[in-house]
Amino acid sequence: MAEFMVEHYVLHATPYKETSALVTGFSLELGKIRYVAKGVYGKSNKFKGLTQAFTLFSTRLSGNGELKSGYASEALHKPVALQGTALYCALYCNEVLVRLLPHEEPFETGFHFYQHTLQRLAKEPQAEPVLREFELFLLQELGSAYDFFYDALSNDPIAPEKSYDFVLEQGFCLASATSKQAFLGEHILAIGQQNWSPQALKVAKYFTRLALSPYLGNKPLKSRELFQKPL
Amino acid sequence: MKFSPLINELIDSLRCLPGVGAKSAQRMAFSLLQKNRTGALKLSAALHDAMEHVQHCETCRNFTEQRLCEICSDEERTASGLLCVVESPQDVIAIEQSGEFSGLYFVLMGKLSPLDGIGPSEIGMPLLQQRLTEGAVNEVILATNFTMEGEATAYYITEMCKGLDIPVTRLAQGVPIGGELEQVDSNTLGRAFKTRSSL
Repeated sequence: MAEFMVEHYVLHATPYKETSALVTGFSLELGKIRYVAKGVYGKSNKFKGLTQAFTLFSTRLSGNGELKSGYASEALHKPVALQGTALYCALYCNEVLVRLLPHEEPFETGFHFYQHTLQRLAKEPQAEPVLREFELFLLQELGSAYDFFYDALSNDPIAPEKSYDFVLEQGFCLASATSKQAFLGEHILAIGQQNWSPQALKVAKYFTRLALSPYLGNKPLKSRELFQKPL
Repeated sequence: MKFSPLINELIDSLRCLPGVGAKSAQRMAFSLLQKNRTGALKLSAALHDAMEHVQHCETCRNFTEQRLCEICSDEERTASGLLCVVESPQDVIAIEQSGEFSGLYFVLMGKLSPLDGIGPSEIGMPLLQQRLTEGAVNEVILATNFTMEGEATAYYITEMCKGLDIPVTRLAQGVPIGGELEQVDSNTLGRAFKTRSSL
């Protein structure tokens, strides 16, 4: 039976049988992986607690099927220090990745971008630009690299003062007179340049929701509920 | 091998117990049939009664067969104005065994975990908010687990309390009594250093 080591972040872990966990991870070598972390919740297990999210682990896996068996695990660094809204954002990233990543398809640039995103979330006071850039990166890597500088139909440069419609799988096209939810050219250009004003962030959030929706499916992302104020 | 319909049903039913697979369920079924029919009948009656009558306490969400659980009905505890928020009924038992806390509880019956489909409403946040708004709570003690989901839950409740101007505290973390430093994981030890106290 094949046996190998992987470096990965745990995206999600759920209890499995009495003392094990069913883990979905994002690995450097294989992309999204699933494995059973055996005995990880056992009282005397020295690997106890090694299914925490936002920590880089090195784990020995075995098995040829989709669901592997995980044995020895070692934390390669401390958990990224995420608190408050930054922690919510990181949980959102994990939920998006679990939905979007194909099973066992190596995605090294995605792995490094995720790692970089976690570190930025821990350090930077404004989480929103970090999230938008994460979503834009995913769109580009998933094959939906929308052009923010040229009209998708006429190929004319996007004009800051004009309005544009967003068409899935095509991009931005000059808005018709009856268009109700058009994007202002100025904001589209700001998204392309990642030049974040409060208005550009608001528009980018709306745009990424639309653009990611075919990949995320109809079921709403549960982590979005965390951002709604309790009072 | 085929079993009779009643035995099959018993084996299938036993599989709803946590950690019980087909083999274990089969072993349990035959053990009960062969050796302990009285115990099995008692178990069956207890299961039926508990499933029919145990519900959630109206104020703390812990399990009880009354409208209010024993702790919530205690006037002295109510007068303390302390509310400890925990993830599960087992956490209530653990804290009660410590003998250090004499306030009330709020049992979330889970923690915020988006990937498990658990958001604020699934862990009773509207009920907690209502309880805090009623004004009888002077301090909220957060005793959720020190996992990422437990921390996210604690943050959500902290924000709720800030809006209502209610002081919030979090359980301390550190080296366990009787524990040796070399056995403590580096994250816990690091946190113990950061939150060290003067003597």
